[in-house]
Amino acid sequence: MVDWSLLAPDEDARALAETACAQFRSLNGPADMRAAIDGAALAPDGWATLSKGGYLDIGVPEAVGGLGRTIDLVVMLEEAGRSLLAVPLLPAVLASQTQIAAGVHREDYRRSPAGFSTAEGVVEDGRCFVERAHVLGGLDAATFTLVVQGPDRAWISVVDRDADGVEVLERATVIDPSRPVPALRFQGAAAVESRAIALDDLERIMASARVCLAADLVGTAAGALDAAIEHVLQRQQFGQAIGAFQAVKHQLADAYVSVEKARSLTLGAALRLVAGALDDVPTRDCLLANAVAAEAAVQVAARFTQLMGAMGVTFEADCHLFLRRAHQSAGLLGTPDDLFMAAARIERREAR
Amino acid sequence: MTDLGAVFDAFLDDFLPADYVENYQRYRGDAELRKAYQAAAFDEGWLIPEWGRDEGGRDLNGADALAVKLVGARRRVPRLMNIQGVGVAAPAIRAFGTAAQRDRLLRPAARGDEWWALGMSEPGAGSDLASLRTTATLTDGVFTVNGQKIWTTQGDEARWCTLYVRTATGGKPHHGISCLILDMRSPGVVVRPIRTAGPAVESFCEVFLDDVKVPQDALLGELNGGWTVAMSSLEHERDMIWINTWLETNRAMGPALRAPDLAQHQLVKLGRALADAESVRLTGLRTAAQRFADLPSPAASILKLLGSESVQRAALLSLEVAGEKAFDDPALFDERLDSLGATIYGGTSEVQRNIIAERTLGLPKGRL
Repeated sequence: MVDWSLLAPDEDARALAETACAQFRSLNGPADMRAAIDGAALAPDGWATLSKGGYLDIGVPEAVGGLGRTIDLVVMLEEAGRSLLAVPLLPAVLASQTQIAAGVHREDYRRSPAGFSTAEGVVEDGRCFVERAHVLGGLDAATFTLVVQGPDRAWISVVDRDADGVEVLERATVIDPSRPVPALRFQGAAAVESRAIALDDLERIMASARVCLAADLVGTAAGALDAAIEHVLQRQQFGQAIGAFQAVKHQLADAYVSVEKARSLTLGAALRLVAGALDDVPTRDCLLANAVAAEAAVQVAARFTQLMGAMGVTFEADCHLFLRRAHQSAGLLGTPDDLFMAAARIERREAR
Repeated sequence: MTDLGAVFDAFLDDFLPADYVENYQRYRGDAELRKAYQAAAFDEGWLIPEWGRDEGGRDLNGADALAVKLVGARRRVPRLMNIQGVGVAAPAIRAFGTAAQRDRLLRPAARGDEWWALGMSEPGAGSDLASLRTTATLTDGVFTVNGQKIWTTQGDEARWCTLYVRTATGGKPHHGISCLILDMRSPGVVVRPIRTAGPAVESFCEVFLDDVKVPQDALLGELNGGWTVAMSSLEHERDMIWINTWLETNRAMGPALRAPDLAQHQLVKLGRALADAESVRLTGLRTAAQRFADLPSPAASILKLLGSESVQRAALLSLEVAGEKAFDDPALFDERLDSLGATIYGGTSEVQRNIIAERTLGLPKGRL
């Protein structure tokens, strides 16, 4: 049974969100993003702060040394998205959640920065062959968690950074270098852990990563919306705050609908995933949440840019930071159209 | 609660025809079944289970009542014939009525024995209810009403009407409005159905009021307190509204779900429709969960806008998926036409966006 009452996160989850919000804001994501765009490397102390704060353990089963529930994980990631956190929390979460779903998780993988990628390739005798994988968090990661999709099966593999056969093809990240996605090649790199899975099971294994990405995107959208509202209340033209104009109001009302729609789907998918009853239903819900949140983040960041007027095209304004973050994350686990299609196929199968 | 759900399920097993699921499309339009269902469900306390036992309910708390309604949605129970009677008029009478009004009117409204119309819109007052011009003057304990209402759903079949009239002028426009309980059989009431663009499920009328006498004891709420009655009566049964929209969106998706082949772009649209339907359901459940936990539920403000647009997109999709088959199947275009009304009635989407922007996002009121 799904406990829908948690769609209104309880006191524990709200307290976590509040703590996470303050902590993540103090890590100043926008400053990190600007510095990264100018080519500076991120200072590593942010990771230590998150690790010491226990954030990497949230949503991980107690059996493998974790704590907290999926709902806690979702509200925490929304705060990370909202604050434009640049510390590699998301890749670490995507890696550990996927490892857990595939049954290859070890606590020590979680103790160091992790990279995460989905790519085409094969794994033979525990060796990964992937021509090109954009690995989220791949520059500073100690391990890479790869979802390798082959022609007739898939693998979830964990590869050590220092393994032979790992080669960096492209270090630079164009859109949001604060959350780098360097291109790597794996030429028979030995996996420390690997599990083959049927292609039919792949979406089910990916479901928890999708809901985590969705939460991050909801946060990005919500952060952009909050900042846009703040701007239109303050900016005066024609003798009034521009937020009093209906043309502005309607854009923000639509943006609010997008955010709430994505948030409802994300919370709902997280709760379904935990209850797990009918495997296809949570899988479908996670696809929908990922797709809707991706579109919301991009749309709201673009609205924010529009409402900033000429400031919207400056480096100084934050809106391009939200837009960068939104666009880079939106297609990370597939384009929204692909995800909508996959969800529709599941539903049509169920309807037969 | 599980027990209660099972009891309700058993009632439905007993009441609904054995082939109900199989022949749902036919039963959907079966007026006799729909009437009988409303009466039977009310008599057993299932229709408005949150009402007290002496009122015909089961005295359930909000969460349990919602759970019963969701069981009903899952079983796709017959739709009410006069939904505004149960959803808008009855809660208003219950909240604002005198003991005599509640005694006389509540039960037949809830059971569906007497139908209700909502006398709000006028030719010059649609979205802008406060500009209404129908007047009522009180002399010797009797109101004399003159004016005209329009877009009055089921005005031709309703026995009663919550009639919003101007009882005072000067001051702010919404301060001088009162709500009268109009007996539609009163002399001077003329109702004319308006021909709709398609075969609408419910009639849609003009109501002319010419020196209509309404006794003073038919005033609902306070004199010049009609605005409060109107605003609060639209707040009730929020759950009923989103559950309904969710079901309608799901139903409209049916053809696309069952079509043997879908092109990729249609699969994408179907996926979007699924996301719409699911987000209506989850946002509805989320705002209910917030309400039960005494937390603010700002997202409630998006349910009308999101729900009506979802129904619309799903109806458009099923028409598109049908292709040339739509030339032979009258239902598809009719549903498309019908769905366009969803973003107009009950507060247009434009007004909803203003409400969201001003009340939820805190943007200033403005004229442009």
